[in-house]
Amino acid sequence: MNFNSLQYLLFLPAAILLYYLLPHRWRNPLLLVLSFYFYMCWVPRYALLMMFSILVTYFCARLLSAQALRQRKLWLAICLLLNLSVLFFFKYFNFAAELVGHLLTSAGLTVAAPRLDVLLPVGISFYTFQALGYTIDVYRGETPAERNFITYALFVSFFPQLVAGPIERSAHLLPQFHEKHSFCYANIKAGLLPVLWGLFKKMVIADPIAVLVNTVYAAPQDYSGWLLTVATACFAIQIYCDFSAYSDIARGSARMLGFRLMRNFDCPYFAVSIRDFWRRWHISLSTWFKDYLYIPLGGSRCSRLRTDLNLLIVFAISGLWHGASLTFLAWGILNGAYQIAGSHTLPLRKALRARLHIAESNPALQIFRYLFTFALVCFAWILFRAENISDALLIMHRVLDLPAYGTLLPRGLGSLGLTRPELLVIFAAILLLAVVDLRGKNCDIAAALDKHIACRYLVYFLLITAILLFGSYGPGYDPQEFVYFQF
Amino acid sequence: MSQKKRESIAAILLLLALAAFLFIGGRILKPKQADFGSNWGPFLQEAEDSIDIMFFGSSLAYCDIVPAIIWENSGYSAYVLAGGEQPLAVTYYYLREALRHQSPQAVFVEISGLFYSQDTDYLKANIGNMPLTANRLHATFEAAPVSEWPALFLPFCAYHDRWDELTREDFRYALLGYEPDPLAGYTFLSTSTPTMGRVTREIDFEQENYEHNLSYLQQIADYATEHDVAVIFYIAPSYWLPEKKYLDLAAADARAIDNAIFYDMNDDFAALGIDDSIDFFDILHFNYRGAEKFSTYLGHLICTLELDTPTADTQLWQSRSEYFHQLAAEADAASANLSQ
Repeated sequence: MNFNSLQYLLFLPAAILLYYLLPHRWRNPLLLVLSFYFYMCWVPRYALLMMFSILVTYFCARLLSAQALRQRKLWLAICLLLNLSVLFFFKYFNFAAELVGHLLTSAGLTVAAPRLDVLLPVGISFYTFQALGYTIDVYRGETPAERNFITYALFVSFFPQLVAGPIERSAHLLPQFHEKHSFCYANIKAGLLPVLWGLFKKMVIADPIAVLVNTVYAAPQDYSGWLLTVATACFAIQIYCDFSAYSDIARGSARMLGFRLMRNFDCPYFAVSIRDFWRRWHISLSTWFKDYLYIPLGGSRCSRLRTDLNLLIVFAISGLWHGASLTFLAWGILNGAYQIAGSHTLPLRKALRARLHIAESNPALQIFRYLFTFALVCFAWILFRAENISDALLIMHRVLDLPAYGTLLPRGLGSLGLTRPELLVIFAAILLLAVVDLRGKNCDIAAALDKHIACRYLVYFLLITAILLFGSYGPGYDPQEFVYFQF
Repeated sequence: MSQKKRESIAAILLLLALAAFLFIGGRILKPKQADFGSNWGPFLQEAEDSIDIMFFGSSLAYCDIVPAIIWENSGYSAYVLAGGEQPLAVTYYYLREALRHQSPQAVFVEISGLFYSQDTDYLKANIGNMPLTANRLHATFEAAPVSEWPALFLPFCAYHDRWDELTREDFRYALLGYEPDPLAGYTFLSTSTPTMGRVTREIDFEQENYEHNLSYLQQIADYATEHDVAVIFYIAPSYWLPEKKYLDLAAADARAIDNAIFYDMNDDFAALGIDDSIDFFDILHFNYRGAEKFSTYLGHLICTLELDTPTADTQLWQSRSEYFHQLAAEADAASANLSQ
């Protein structure tokens, strides 16, 4: 059940209505049933995997909270091992087997790599990380082990954020399941705007622009450097709109039920450095890795070399978290390398600025930083989007080969599956997105709209009509799954 | 005014504005259909109770029957209200809806719809162009698969992707409505395809589907009889007919229906005077020349039915006749130029 489906548009109001109609004690069981129903709309049997993860983390957390340190370590290790084994089996087994097969072949041994014919369970990386985060919090004594199984199961499976995050922290979300949420129109209002804005980003920008991106990336050898650059920039916008749309709809849906989910994006394409970008992009995952991997590895409180290595390890694992493929691994490592290069060149850049008498707050410098960071991010997205490493290398080569722009089978934008009016609408929508993101940096747009009822309803009207008219839905369209579902 | 009241009023206004947007937008975005069947827009512009004979069915009705020629040969005003590959369930609701506006003396129903399934590509046009009445709802529920319901209830959503191909005509039709059709539901097909005699048309015969359609044939006869309208079922003359066993089945079933007359026009094909080399648009349909000959034949046939005196507006039908002959003359001249 995709967020941009008619099914969900019927499911959500029904869920909200039932939730507020039921007495408080029945609400969590109801949400649990609805969450499992929501999840089972994909592949019903994979709900068993989620239940396995819930059971393991629930009981391990209960056990480790009551044990001495040594036994706690044991239970934590068991919990991590069981959960990560499931994740490995479904997500990484084929990749690992293929890799081992290649290594053996290059060593002169001919071994047929075994291959599992299984579908990746939707959202497995998200709920596994959320459940593991909880277990580690309990181990560290930061969160008490949840006694009520239904409440805990709901924490892992809460439908708005189950499939693609945000990956919530136990200290933030778990207590909310113990609160009593009375019906409050302010929550509906506060939830409606992100839901509409998310649908707008997904259906008016991400899905239509995906047509262009898919066309180019399906046969990159046929396109010139500048079209590959355009397609890559479009992919940057597509993946941002797609993923942040999911987070917005998740936050909005949860808010209508009285829950507050964490913010997952903070205008990432207005970042002034790669480090800044990762503070703004998929915040729930970045902070998860920081808290549960980077800091335990030593973080930045160790030698320069070790800090760099920690960064590379974290980003490499983050890359693999996104997908079992060398392209994702390379994408992660490249982002780690960007950060290392950024921190090593910081004194040099500071000195250069001082020499040129450019103030830190200089607007031109600021714009240059936005553009340079965006260019670096886009360059890395090539690895994320390309079908394989050789395609990625070809695209990178053509993108960097500026003198050859336009000479290799030049084609216009019109040949990429979108009409000129469609391109214009997408362009206008992206401009609107940029304005909203830029304004949103300094002020709370939702709060500002809340003060002017006519403006707020006009915004609702314009968003709904834009989605209905320009959105990607209905016969003849192939609505794209949310990109992050595959992770 | 309290905040709660203001919110309620704003929410109601939003819903009303969205409903208006969907309704008006749907009218603008929906493809306009003035010919090739499902021509409800022009049909509803006809003066009430001004049509003597109505023709229903599939493309074999709107491509092969020229009402102006029928008027010339019988004096009766006629109109074709058919739809591409129309299942008989839809034909039944076409008849019911048509009889709300007209009181014909006879209706002709072309029965190839007995073989059509419920989810043909044409269904959206067949039902979507009907006026929004109970008959349209019935047609939707009874003839359209559930997957098509949202598109049939909300044309805006079905056709929203047309926003970048809208023309001034789309706005004109949507805001000002259709004009009466001087061809009265006939679709003028000017080109010729020489034919080489009969070829068997492969059909995907499903007993359940056939029986479902057959039940509507009975309902058509019953409903027409209730309204004192003579019913004539017929198989249209064509060179692309289903296997004989299916035709015989359809003919036998149509003949068995009470209160209806049945004709297989193929039995008297020679009497039409069809020229295989110039009278066909394709193997299934006549072009304007073949349609004129078949309509002349039908006009004579109508004269043999015991109908009341014609009520046709002579001036109007004279102009419609002239219009058809003018189009025919232009098409003749064009084909003569082409052959030189």
